Amino acid sequence: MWEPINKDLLGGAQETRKSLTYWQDVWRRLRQNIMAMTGLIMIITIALLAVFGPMFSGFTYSEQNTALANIAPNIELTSIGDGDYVFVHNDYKLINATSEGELLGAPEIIEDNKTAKFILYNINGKEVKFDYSIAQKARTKGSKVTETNSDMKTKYDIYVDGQLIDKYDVQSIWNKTYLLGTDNLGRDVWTRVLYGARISLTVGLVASVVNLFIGVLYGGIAGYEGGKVDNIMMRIVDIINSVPLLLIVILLMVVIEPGLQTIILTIGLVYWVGMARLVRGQVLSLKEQEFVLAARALGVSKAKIVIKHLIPNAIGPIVVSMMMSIPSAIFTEAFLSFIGLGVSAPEASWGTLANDALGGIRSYPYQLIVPSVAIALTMFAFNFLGDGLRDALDPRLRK
Amino acid sequence: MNKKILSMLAVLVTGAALFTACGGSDETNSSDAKTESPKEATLSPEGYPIAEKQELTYNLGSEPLTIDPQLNSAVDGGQVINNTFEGLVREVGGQVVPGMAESWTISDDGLVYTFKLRNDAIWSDGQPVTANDFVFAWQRAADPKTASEYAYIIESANILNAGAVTKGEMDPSQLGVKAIDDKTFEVTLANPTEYFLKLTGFATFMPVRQDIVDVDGIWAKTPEKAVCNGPFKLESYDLGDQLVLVKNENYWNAENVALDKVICKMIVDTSTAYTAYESGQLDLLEAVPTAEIPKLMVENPEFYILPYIGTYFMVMNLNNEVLQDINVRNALNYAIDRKIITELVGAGQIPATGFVGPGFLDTEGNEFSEVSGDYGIPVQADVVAAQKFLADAGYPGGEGFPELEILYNTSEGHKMIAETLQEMWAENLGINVKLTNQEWAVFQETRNNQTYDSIARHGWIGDYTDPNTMLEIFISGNAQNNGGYSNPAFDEQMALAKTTVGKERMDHLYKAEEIFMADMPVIPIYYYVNTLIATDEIEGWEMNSQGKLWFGDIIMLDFEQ
Repeated sequence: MWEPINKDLLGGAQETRKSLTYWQDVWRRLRQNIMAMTGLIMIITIALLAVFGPMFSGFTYSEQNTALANIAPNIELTSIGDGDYVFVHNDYKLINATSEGELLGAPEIIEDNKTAKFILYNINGKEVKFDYSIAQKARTKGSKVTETNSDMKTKYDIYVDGQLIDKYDVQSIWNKTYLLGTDNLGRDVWTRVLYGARISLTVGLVASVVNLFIGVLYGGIAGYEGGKVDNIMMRIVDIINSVPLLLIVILLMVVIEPGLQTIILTIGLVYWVGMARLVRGQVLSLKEQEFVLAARALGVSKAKIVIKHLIPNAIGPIVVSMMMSIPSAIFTEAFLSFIGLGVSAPEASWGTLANDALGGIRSYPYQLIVPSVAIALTMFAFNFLGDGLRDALDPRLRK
Repeated sequence: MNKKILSMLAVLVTGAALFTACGGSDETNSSDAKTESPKEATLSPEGYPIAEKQELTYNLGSEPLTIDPQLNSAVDGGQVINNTFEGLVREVGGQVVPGMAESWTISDDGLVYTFKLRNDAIWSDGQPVTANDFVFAWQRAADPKTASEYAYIIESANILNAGAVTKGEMDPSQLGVKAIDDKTFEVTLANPTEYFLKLTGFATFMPVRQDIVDVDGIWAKTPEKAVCNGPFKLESYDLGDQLVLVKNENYWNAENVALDKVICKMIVDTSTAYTAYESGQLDLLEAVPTAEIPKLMVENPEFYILPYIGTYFMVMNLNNEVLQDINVRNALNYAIDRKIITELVGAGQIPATGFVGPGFLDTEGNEFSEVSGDYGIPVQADVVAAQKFLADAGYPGGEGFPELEILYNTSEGHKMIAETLQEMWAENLGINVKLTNQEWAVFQETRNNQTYDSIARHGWIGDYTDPNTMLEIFISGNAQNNGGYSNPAFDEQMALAKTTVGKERMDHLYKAEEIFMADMPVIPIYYYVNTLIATDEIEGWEMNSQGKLWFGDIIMLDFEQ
């Protein structure tokens, strides 16, 4: 009469869903956000490039080749016959190159006549005359020189063995030797940007970690405890905030040497202040809500209330502010390096790379564009990810 | 209907504009336009129409620390002082011409100079310039209480008792200067000094008024108080922005000064200044971005490269034990490629193989630097010799060599040179060098107090065209001797040069440089040149080999008239 029920039947009827932990749920929701995932992938790519990239670029960040200084990533080659090609440098000189866009170096100079304005080169047995005397044609005194056209090709002539060649017949090709060109000392910009990423990302990372741990906890404790504790803690914040950053750095320099450690220490000392204020404000309003009262009634400890209940509820503003602190940390580093309190040359961060390129912005804009684009991409990536994280971490949006 | 007319009008107007634009570029047409202009423009000495508005905008570069003649030691302050004050003489194109002094006599032994001041020499507030003003100014410069960084130049001029006065051993009133009467000024020298007359045109020797000056030199920056005797006077001073000079009607030669106003901007960043020039907001500027120089040299006729008597070098701190070894100093000197560096800085600088560069003539009219030769220092790196020196010092292949440091003041150009040196030493000698930069004011203090670790950037511009101005900074204890170099043999030659004249003196200077270069306490990099952009609208500008600009003869042109 009685027979045991088939267990398989039972299981089949009851659709169960695996219970998700909070972080699993966060990850699930983050994965659905395409923008956030793009940002995350970008950050991982940049970080990997920063760590491993310089090993494969073939150059070191300090290796100089002054003969090939200031050459853009995209070069225009002029054929001088017999498979020989030259690149006309903005500094009015020729650089020998192959048809594939590999740079061979400065050709041998036979004569450099600065008064008649021409340079005679010997390129593989051919006598090449680079005549730039037309750059400053018959100009009448008083006519504006600043409005001249920027097209180099109108300003020179090339003669091969006495024969004028067609200077407009050029092929535009990517620089195969230096992918992103060279800087004013002939260093590879690509390697330097990758190397710079290490420093800039480290600084950014430190800033965000410090923000997260010190700032959030400090603000959370001050806000939740309230009263005297809050008063004292927030006055300390006020004091730190009222001392200029530069002054702290200069004082620190007396004790320790300038360098990356100084910058990291400075950021560690100062950057959590804004976050602490923000979290305190959030916690002050959240702690009056019913769920906190419920937790307290159940006997949850103070630490747990702050960490488990209050901070997750304030995660939106926290993440946004954390993501905003990364660019500002990177810029702070650039500024400190510029005034001599940061990384020392020839090490370079994105900020110093951009700063160095500023002088040559008219003739060699790519030197500024490359680190700027790197900074911009990183900022985008962090912002997208931050946006996605805010949605994913918010417990109120949990389904 | 109306619209039609309007559109037709529009077409006509644009058409007309197009045609006139075409005509404008045509040579004959534009000259026609010139003759048609109603008012005949007055022409400048070179035959160009003079502008109605005589106003010059110049970039001073940075905010001058002071524009008090005795307190100033910087180039920017010197440019302002050179145009607001005038000394006894002025140097124009290497020749001495009368300034405040209308004539002078020199005693037969070359020791006593008697200057006769002009009767029409008047201060900008109308009071006459008297010999007492000079006595006061010179005593003030030498007085240790003034703390003038240029006090030693009074000593270089060999004025009687100058050494004792600057050291504080004697009262400033004992200095060998006196006012015979209001318009006669007498100077007594300790030894005959050939370059003394040229020196009297230098800023430190310019007169100031006892009733005006204050200790800190603030008077010179206050338009109400700044009484001066040069072609221009201060009209306004905006901190960190600009200072405005206007023509001083009381200047003795005011009728020949064409400019009404000189606006001196304080744009620090060279790139910003160059942009301002391109947009027509600056007429005259010295510093341009390094990256633009090769292009400017070829393309821009308003860009000038001028001789500049000075040397860019690295000073080695001889308190550092490693650098006390002559072999190490030689190794560092031989391992660098000066040609590459000069090509990088790009304005035609000359690789320095000595300390006295071109622009200094000896008594026979030969270039001092050519006679003295290159002391065996290679223009391009001599790696083999350098490595041998390093091995002799006990560091074969750079092994065990401690890390050195190059200290430089924050600037794009200095950084570039420091990085190049670092790379050359790493590559050719296998030694590590750290780079540190400091802000200019901090840097000067570190260098002057010799608290830097090993190597510091230095540059020295001659104050007068005599080799003495370059070499004297390495006399033991000189304020600019920042490496702590001290060699009694060198000091002796320099002291002998002070007491001798003519060829004998030059021989002592040659000998001194030889001793100095054999000791190699510095790393000479290159001899300076000056770069300058002066628009075609400026006629008559002048910059001497010490880099001093003179605005007094400038006339602004207007080619559109």
